[in-house]
Amino acid sequence: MISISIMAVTGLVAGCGSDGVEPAAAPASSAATATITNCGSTLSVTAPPMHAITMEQNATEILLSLGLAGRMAGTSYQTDPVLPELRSAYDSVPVLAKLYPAREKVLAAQPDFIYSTFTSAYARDAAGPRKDLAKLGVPAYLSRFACEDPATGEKAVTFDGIFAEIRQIATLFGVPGRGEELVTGQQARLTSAVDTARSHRGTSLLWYYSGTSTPYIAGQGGVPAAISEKLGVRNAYGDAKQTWPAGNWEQIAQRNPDVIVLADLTRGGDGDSARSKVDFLRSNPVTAKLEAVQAGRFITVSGSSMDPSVRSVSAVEQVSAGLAELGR
Amino acid sequence: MTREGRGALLLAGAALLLSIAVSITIGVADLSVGEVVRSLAAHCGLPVRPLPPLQDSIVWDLRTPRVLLAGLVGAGLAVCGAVLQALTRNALADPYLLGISAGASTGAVCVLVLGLGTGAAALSMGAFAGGATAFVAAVLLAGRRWSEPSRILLAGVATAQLFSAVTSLIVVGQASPDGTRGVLFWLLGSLTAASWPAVALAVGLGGVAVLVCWAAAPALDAFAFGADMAQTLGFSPARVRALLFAVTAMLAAVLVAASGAIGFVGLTVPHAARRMAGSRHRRLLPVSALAGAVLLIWADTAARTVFAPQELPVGVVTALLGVPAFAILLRRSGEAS
Repeated sequence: MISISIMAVTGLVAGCGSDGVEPAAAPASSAATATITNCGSTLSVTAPPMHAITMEQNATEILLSLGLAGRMAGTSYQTDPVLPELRSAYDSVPVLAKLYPAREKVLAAQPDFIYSTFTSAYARDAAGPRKDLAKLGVPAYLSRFACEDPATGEKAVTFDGIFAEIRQIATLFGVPGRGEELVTGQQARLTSAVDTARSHRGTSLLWYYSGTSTPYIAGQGGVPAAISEKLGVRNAYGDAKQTWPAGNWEQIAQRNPDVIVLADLTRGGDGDSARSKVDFLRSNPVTAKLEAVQAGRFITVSGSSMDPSVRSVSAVEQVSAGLAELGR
Repeated sequence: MTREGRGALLLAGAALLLSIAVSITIGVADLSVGEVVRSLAAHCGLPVRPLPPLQDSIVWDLRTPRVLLAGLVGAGLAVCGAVLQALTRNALADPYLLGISAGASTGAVCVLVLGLGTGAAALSMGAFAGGATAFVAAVLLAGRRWSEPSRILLAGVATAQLFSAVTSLIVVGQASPDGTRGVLFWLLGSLTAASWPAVALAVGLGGVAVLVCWAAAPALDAFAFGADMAQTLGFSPARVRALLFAVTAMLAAVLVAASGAIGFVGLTVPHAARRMAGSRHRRLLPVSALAGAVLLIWADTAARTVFAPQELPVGVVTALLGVPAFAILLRRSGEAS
C-alpha cells in the first residue's frame, strides 16, 4: 500500500503518464530475488530497491526518467545542469557530494542499491569496491559500458546496449513497463533523426571533444562511433582504436573532414565550450585552413550526450539536424 | 637512556594513543562518540548492542584500520627517513631516495592499465614488485661498490627518472581517463585502501624492518659521524650499510604498496625528532616512529574531513603541512649554528 502511493507520487513528480504505473513494485507482494550478472560479478537484488544511490549524472537521469525519485537516497557528480524535465524530481533527492562522496558518506546514507556508469565510482576514495559493498548486502551496479574488464560488458557503445541497460534497471526496480515506455520514446526519436539524415550518408565527420593544441577526438567504441554508424556517416578518426585518442592537427588537415562536430562541455576549461573550440579553430594557422572551418561547417552537440545515457539520443538529433541545415 | 630521551618518548607515546582514540571518532558519517565506542566494544566481545551493519562497517572496516594504517605508515616512513639520512649523511634523504616510489608507481600502473590482475591485493603486489625492481636496478647501475652513498644516490635518481618515464608512457599510451584518475589519486598517496589485512601486513613486514634498524642503532650513530669512525668500531661498514639500504628499500616498498607515495613525512619528521630527542639513534628511531605516526594520523583525518564529503589525497595534506614545518626547522637550525 505504502509502496504504491510512493510510486504514484514519483510518477507525478517525474511528470510521467499516470496510466503506466505498475503494481508489481510492491516488495511485500513479490519478494522475488533477481540475480543478474553485472560486469562479471553476480548481483542479487532481494527486493526492488527503495533507497538507491546514483553515483553520477547518467545513472541519476536514468532513474529519474523512470520516475524513481521517491526511491532514491542520494545522488552525486552532476556535471551538467540536470535535464529541465527532470529538475523537480532531481531537487527532491539529497545530493551527497558535488563530486564522488567518500565511502563513509555512501554507507551512512544506508543505500540498498548503488548505480554507477563509471569504474571510478567504485574506487576506494569513492563508494569502495563492488565486492566490499556486496558483502554488506548492498548491490552495486556498474554500467555495461564501464566494466573493469571490457570483455565482461560491452566493448563498444550501441543504442541497443543503452536501451538494454535501461530495461534491466527498470526490471530490477520492479517497473519494467516504465523502462519499455522510456525506450520506446527514445527509439522513436532515434528513428526520426536517422530518417532526417538519410541523404547525408558518407559525409565525413570529425568529433572534436576537448583540448586545443592537443585535441581529443572520438575514435572507436564511444557514443560518436555509435551515432556515425546509425547515421551512416564516416568518422574521420574511425581507425583509432581508443575511444578518445589524442589527435594531431596535421593528420586532421590531411584527412580534411567535411564537418566538425563540436562537443559543448560545461566544465569551462580552455577548448571546452563549443565557442572556445571555434575560436581556436579560426585562430590557429593550420586549423584555420581546414575546409570545414573556412566554410563554417560546424555542428554543436552537448558534451554530456557523448557518454552513453538518456541524453545520447539528443546528440543524434543535433547531428542529423545540423547535417540537414548545412546541406552536406 | 637519558631523562630527556625518556620524556620525549613518553610524551610521543601518549600523544599517539590519544590521537588514535580521538581520530576514530571523527569522520564524514554522522556517528556519535557513543556509537563508535559501542561498535568497537561489540567487536571486542563486550556485551553491548551492536550498531546496524552499515554503520558498524563504517567504524570497524573503514575508520579503525585506516587510522591504524596511517599510524603504521607514518611510523615506517619516519624510521626509513631517519635511517637513510644517517646512512647517506644527507639531511635531504627521504624514503623514496632510491627510486622506490617511481618503481612502485610503474608496478601499480602496470597492474591497473595492463590488467595484470584485479583488486587491492594485485595493486599492492604490483607496487611492491615495482619498488623492489627499482631498488635492484639502482644497485646494478651503481656497480660493485654500490653501497657508497654518492654512487647509490646518483643511481637512485637515474632509476627514478627512468621508471617515471615508463609510467607516463603506459598512462599516455594505454589508460582511459577513468582509469588514470584512480592511478593518480593513489600515486599522490592515499590511505583509502586501508583494511585489516593491510594493517596486519604492515605490522608484520614493517615491524621486522623497523626492529632491524633499531638493532643497528649503534652502527647508525657511527655512520652519522662518518664511515672512518664506523671502521674503528669493529664492523664492516660496507656490509652493514648494504644491509640497511636493502632493509629500508624493502620497508619503503611495503609502505608505498600500502598507501602510495606519501611525501614529506620521511623527510621532515626525523629532523623534528632530532630536536626532541637528540641524534642518538637508539632513542631517535622510536621517537621518530611515534611522531611520524601521530603526524600521519592527523594528516589523514584532515584528508578525510576537510573537503568532506569528498576525499583528498593525504599526500597533498602532508606536503602542505610539511613544507612550512621544514621551513621552520631550516630557520631554527640556521640560528643555532
